Amino acid sequence: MLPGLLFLVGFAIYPTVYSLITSFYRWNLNNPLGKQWGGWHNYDILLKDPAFWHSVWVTVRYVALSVVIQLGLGLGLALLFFRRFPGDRILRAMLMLPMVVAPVVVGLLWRFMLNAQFGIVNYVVEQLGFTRIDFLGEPGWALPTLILIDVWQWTPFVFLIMLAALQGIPEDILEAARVDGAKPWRIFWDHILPLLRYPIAVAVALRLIDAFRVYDLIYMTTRGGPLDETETLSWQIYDAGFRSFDIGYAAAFSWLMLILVVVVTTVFLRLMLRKEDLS
Amino acid sequence: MGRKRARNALTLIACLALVMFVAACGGSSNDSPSTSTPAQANTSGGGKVELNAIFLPATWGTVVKDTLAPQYEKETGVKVNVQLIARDAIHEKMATLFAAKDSSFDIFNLDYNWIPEFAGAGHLADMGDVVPAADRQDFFPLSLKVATWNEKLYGIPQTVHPALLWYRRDLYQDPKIMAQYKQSTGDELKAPATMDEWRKQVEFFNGKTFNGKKVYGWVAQAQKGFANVHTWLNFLYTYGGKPFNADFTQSTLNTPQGQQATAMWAGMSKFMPPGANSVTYDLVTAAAQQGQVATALHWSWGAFAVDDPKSSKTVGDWAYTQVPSASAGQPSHPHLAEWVISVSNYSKHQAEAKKFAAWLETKKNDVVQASLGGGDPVRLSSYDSPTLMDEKVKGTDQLRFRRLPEVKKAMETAQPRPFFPLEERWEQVVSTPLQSISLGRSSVEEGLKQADQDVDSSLNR
Amino acid sequence: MTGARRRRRRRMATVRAVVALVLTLLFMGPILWMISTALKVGTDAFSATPKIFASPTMDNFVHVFTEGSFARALGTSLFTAGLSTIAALLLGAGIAYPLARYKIRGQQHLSFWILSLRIIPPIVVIIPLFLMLRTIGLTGSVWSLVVIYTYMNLPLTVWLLRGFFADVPKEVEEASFVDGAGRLRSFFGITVPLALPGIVATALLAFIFAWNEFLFANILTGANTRTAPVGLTEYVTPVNVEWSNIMAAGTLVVLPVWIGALLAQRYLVRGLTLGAVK
Repeated sequence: MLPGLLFLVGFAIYPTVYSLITSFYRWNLNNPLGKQWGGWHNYDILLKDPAFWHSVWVTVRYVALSVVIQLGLGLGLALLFFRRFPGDRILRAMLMLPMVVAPVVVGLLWRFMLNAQFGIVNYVVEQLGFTRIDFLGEPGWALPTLILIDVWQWTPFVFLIMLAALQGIPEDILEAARVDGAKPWRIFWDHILPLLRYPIAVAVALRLIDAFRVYDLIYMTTRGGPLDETETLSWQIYDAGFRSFDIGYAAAFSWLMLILVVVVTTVFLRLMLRKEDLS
Repeated sequence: MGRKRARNALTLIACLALVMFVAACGGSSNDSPSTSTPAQANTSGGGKVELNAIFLPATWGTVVKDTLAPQYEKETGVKVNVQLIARDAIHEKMATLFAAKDSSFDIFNLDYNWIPEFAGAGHLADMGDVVPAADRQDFFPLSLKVATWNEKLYGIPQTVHPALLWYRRDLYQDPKIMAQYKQSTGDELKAPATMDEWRKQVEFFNGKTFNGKKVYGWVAQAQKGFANVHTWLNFLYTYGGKPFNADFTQSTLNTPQGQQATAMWAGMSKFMPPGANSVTYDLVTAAAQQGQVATALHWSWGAFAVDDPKSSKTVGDWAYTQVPSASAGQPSHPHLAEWVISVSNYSKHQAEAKKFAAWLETKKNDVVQASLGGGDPVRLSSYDSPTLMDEKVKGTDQLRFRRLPEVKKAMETAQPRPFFPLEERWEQVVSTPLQSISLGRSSVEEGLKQADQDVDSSLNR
Repeated sequence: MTGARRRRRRRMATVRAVVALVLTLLFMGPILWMISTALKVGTDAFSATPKIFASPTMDNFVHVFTEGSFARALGTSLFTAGLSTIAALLLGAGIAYPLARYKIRGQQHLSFWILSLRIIPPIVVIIPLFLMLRTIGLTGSVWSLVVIYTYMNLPLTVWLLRGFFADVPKEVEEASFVDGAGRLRSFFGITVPLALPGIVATALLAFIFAWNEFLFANILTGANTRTAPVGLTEYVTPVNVEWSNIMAAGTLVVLPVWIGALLAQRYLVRGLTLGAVK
């Protein structure tokens, strides 16, 4: 335990504390004057900035929708694969593919496919008799499209956890219910779902945390646009930190985001799990 | 539960571990020079200097990496490792390295609008000593001006590419189309001199099918971010607008000139191909290569790509002229793009690094870079070079560098981006209200007022 | 009766197989398109009417693999991701095991704090991390990425491994004490083999995260130490994006992890079961 903890302390506590302290400074990397103590200055302007609240709203929508859809789809797929059918192993292996694709490749690949002029998706859209859509550039389309990409990539992950969980349910519980003459959806609702509480919590928590951090995808596709429709928190932090080099401001921004993520995940886990699950 | 399964698993992980181990050994032996720190690498090989450079993966970066750096090593024995990194990543990387006063890289390829922030913070080395005053006469004066901060030269210009108006010669000289244009507008079809003329032509071409191919009016970068700002600046400058007051403390966009310029720019956006909101530089090039548009507002050096038969269907078809002006007889003011070569102030081999940077832009190499398909030359003398000026595009009667006379002319009236340390943030801030105008979400006046407000409050961050 | 039921069941299986096939194809579609683009020549890759069956060529793969530094980048990726995975597993096990076995006061907060480390955006920590790496003289070398990825994956490995270790019955371990084995021997002899599916799953996830990581790699790697995802962006030039080369490189980036995931699929599924189903 000791070496691991030492490593964590060295590499995790120091940067964490450093960033917390930095968040109270007015500090632009390229300002020859260096850091200046700002107290609550950064937090103050952030909390009063409508753009900040806008990006909270964008992020929450992005995270909530993509996680909910992934959970629904993943669970559905898992129920489909729960009972064996010919070729299920091969298909399961194929389904895993999207989750191992590097986010950079994901972003480029979708940008390529969704291009309004030369992309395959719009070719299909046009063949089906609709007009071409600039999925990543049209206001109103960009955020749903990003959510769809996230769903495409991460549903397989949720699916795998759900499938594993389903296979872990003792067969006799299901058999007993069936003998009692319960309808399939009743069996699912009364017997299966309660047993999936913990796996669902784990899957959703992991996805929540990663969805909040979404960055590579936006970097490669919309870059916050059109207008400010895909300005998520992590993108704005990137913008402040790496485009403008406002390190203090970016640090304060991240701490506000951290608080948001911790609150959301904690509330969610508290709701999902009983006390004994946490210990 | 399954002992056997556990044993199987153990075998598997042992195999995996073995694979990893082999890979690790392979990896480490391949990378053995690079796993040592650059400081050590620099001194290895009998005290010979080794330089590390970052260039843009544009053609002028690949030319340096593939041709010039190896040649320099042959001539001088100084090895230059060139890494090609995308624009954003260069900016991020420089900030991180400089914040830590790190010396792992000596030479950087900079977009000139970063000169104020990096030079102002003292991160760049003064290059004045390697470009003697007499030699400076040969550079475009503007190209040096935007590499200078507080009266010191912090970068050697490597390539200039002011925006030019591109138009399709094959369409503009087609007698049938000319007659059709005359009939519908009463004017002769020729390269536009004013914005109003251009707009009329763009409207004429947009959506029509010529010789079996549908074309759109024009294309230019329009994605939110630097892309739409860089296009809009051509309009702003041409109509006489100024983004800031003299000392960059107040945004001055909502002026009659600003409104006129923005209205023209936004009004023309409906004549672009669908999906224009996400158009970046590479998509402008793709649209030009595929012959999808009649005109384009594009950087001059993109011309290499449309004359490349491997990826272009419009080889030799494009002609170049000045960005149209606000009214007849006046010059236009295209937006300047330029990349410079700078040396880190934390480099342990500053003198050597500066020497290499200067060598890249000798009279000879300025021409060599262009003829190898790098950027457009920065030296006036290169524009008279027969090597460049007489070469034809293979298989056509078109001059390969037919754009250069226009580039030279454009450099006389071109204007740089606002030259102050917070320029990157400024672009980011104005891009949103500008897109809101071009999408028709807000009126020109509302949008510019919003932009002024946003810029002013971001200056006080 | 039973015969009818069996028949019905078989029919249901066929229906499920068809539905699953369609869904799988939807998920596979983009990847198939990536591979097919990688097999096309440049002008066919990005044209107004997409060519679904252009005559295939291996040129892009050859180009990506032999010209430039992409092959080397793949090697660097394998090295950093592999080594950091091993390190994160070893260090992670060191923390997770006591957390799983002993009642430590406030450990609930400890594991949550460890998890919360995963939440901090990399941008915020990159400058302090960079300064630290410089102090120990690792900047610009591949070792800096090994260290960073270990740090990045540690929270995940601790969190997952804790669950897997907790699932190994205490009694089995205690039995081995009676036989006279020491703590360490019983850990490696009994606990590790029993928790192995979980460990493999954890290792695979850690490997994937490190293999795919972009931001740190983009900023921290030196001239000769770029990883595959960073090397890939070299084909995104400002003048034109070399789509067929990118897709070839993208395929090469995906392939190794996919093969790894396939090989370890059984353990991945079982491992996630152990962690997810208490």
